[in-house]
Amino acid sequence: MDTQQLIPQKINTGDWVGSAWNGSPRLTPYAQAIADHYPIQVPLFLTTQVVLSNDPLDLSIPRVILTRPQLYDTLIVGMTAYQAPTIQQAGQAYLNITHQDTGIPWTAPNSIGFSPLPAYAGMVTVGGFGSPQMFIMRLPESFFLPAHTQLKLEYLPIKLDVTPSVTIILVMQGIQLINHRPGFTTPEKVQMPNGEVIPVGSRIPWFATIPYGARPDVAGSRGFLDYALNALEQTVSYGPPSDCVIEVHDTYASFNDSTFENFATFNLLRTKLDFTRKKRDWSPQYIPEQAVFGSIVNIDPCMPFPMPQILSGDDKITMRAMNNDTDLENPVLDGTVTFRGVRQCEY
Amino acid sequence: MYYFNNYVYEILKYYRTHIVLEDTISIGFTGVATQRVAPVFSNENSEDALYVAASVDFTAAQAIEARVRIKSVSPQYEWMANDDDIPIDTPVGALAGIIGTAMPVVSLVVPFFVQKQGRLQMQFTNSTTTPITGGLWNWRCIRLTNPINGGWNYSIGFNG
Repeated sequence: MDTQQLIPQKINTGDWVGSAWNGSPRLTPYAQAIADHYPIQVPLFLTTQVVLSNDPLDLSIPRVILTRPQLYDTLIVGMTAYQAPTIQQAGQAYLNITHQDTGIPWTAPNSIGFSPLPAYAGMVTVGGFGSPQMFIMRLPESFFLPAHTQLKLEYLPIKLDVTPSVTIILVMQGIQLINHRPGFTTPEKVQMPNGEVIPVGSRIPWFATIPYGARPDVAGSRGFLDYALNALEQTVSYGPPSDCVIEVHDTYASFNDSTFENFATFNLLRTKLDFTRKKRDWSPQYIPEQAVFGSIVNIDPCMPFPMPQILSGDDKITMRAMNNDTDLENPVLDGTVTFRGVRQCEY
Repeated sequence: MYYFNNYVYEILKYYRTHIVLEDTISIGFTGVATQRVAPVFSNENSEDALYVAASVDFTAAQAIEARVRIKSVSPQYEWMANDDDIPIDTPVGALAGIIGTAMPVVSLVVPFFVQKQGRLQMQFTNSTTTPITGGLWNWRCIRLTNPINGGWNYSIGFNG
């Protein structure tokens, strides 16, 4: 029997504080439990910059940035990104972040393996659609970055017009955790609100980016830019498999097509979204894509589900998409949906 | 709705009275692109204070290009801690709200405790394409008065 369905309070909904920065940043219970071990806490702004050019290598090989090791243990809580030229002018870069020491990527390694920058970070846009937006976005879960370790940032400009170049500045907002007491060691386990004791490092941000449509089966079509969902066609996509329990919080949709990006017509693109845990878990009808997926036009681009969804074992996300546009010349090009949440694993 | 983490409540416990405090600082830009002006400091307070949130009177475009590097001077904690060969300062808009926009004040990820003899040092660099003349930065703070047992201090963090 699925006890999680019968006793919803068993789900750690208290872990979820949403992506909005709001008037006062709020720590997740996991982050608060870690921070409680440190009597001195100092704001951290960790800024990195990358310039993506029209060098062919920049278009096919990820550009890698390594953060420098920090003196103190750190909680990375939220992110802000700046892009010049803007997203409206040049499109969106894709990003993956990996903790260098454990090797665990934040974006699940599926057919894309990268997520749009606005799924990671609040974007400052000036004079464009959706402006002003929430320019600091909270991660689905704070990331505990131990002292003297690094994060690897991999950028892939697969949806970016890099003529002549695009500059991206990424600011990670976090807390430096300081404890100089003799004999102090970094906590290995913390207690969650439901009483469960979990290892520090066992909750990390999780991103899964699923493309709309499929690549055509022709020579040379291995690039991301070949994904398409033609008018009056349907497709089925699945979330990546995982060996861990996943807590799915919210979604962000990205399109390289102004017809769909601007959401001018509400019913143009429809989806059927199922968290398939058992055969009975299915949706009865297609729903407007904008009703369930956030986008860059929203103040908070990541649209939350009514409650976090727990996926474990053989569970999977099933996403059916239908391009309802009657204009056959109007396919969905290079569309992706990013599911954001928390990966619960012990390493 | 305001939310403070346990660290802040731990500090507040050491004071009987908590009063709102505003601290406005003139940056002193002279309209020169990428100008790195002399560091400016938060104003002296007669009491300990928690620095909670910030705002700036730049335009959104200026707040993207202008940079800032902040540290406390007593004791010294770097907020923009990195040891890159060429350290990258933080865009002002990632830290402070922009007056006249939907978010005129932005909270710090964690409030920062400044003792009455301490100050914050802010090193600003002007915008590259739309340089600022003047510039005002406002800190929203909580003044901590009527201390209990001398109030909170960083040695409590070391030994408490």
